[in-house]
Amino acid sequence: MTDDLLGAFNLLADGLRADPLLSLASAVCWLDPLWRDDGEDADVPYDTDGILAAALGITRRTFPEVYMQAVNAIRQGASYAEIDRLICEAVTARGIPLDGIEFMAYGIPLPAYGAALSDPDFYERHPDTLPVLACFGITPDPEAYAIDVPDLAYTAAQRIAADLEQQTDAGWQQIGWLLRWLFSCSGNSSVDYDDETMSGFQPLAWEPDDIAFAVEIIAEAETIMRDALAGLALLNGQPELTKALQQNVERITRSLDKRSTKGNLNEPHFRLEWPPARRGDHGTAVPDPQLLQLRDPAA
Amino acid sequence: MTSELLRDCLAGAVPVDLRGMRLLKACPQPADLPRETLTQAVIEIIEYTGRCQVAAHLLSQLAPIPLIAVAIPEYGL
Repeated sequence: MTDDLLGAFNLLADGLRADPLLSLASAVCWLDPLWRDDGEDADVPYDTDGILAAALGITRRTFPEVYMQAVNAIRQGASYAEIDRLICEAVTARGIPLDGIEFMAYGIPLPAYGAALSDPDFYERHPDTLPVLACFGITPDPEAYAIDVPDLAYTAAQRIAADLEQQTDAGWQQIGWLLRWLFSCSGNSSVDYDDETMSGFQPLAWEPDDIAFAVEIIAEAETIMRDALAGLALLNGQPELTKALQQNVERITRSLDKRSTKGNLNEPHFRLEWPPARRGDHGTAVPDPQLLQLRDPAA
Repeated sequence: MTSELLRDCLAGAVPVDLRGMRLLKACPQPADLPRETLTQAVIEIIEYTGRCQVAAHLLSQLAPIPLIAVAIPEYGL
């Protein structure tokens, strides 16, 4: 019986190969097992098999080369975890960080770096931001259920960030990006929204235009966050900069207070002063390992 | 469940009738098979393979069944 069954398989396989049309059809099915993609992926249940099927369907439409790699790996007996890792690494390499294929079915996952200043947990995760936030009068009570951040702090931060953007000093520009991150006014969704806020929006779809848009958002967000963290390190490393920031916050706050007291709707004018922000210790040159790698020691 | 009952169950299974098996018995040359016949036979054997995989999966999920009437003296306690 087993021999007959195997014989039947061989006979049919030989028959398929002997017919050019069926041979071509076999090749299509072999190379592209999801060739009959008819848009039913949304109905795939979120069990393990359904997640993988959805991920394969998405990669087939968006990153065919990743789909082919995954199909090939499946044929070679790769485990679910290996396929998951393969797809995640390949999609991440294309500019969309992906932690697990289970996130794919919802749409393009965007990182959410947003600073939730009203959430006490934020200050536990980022205690190094406390000195700069204190400049704006934000001193969180660890026992409080929610932190009350006055609107004036947001307004002052936006004004200062706008002023720092005009500075030629790269250090202060980075501090400007730090403020834009902390006060959610960068204009980049990934930088401004935390996970909770981001989940309230319809995710971008796995379509070419949306993918290009997502890649652009993510790349910009990473640049902003790099600058913001560099600005944070700069502020925390040089107390005189924090002092200058605090003085300018006070100037702006006074100006905004006067404006609201007098009912003046004109834009307040203020002149902010920024001392030089030294990048590195005491103004000395700081070696950059990435740049040093570009130099040939033998040259 | 006894070993006799299990054997009877297996022996009572109706042999599957596949077009591919019939074609094999007829011993045609693969190149001579009509396209439609070949297509139907391939579809049928793929479906059969799928059913076998599902059955094997279900069997692998079954809880152990004690075979109370089977004596295994080699491993007697």
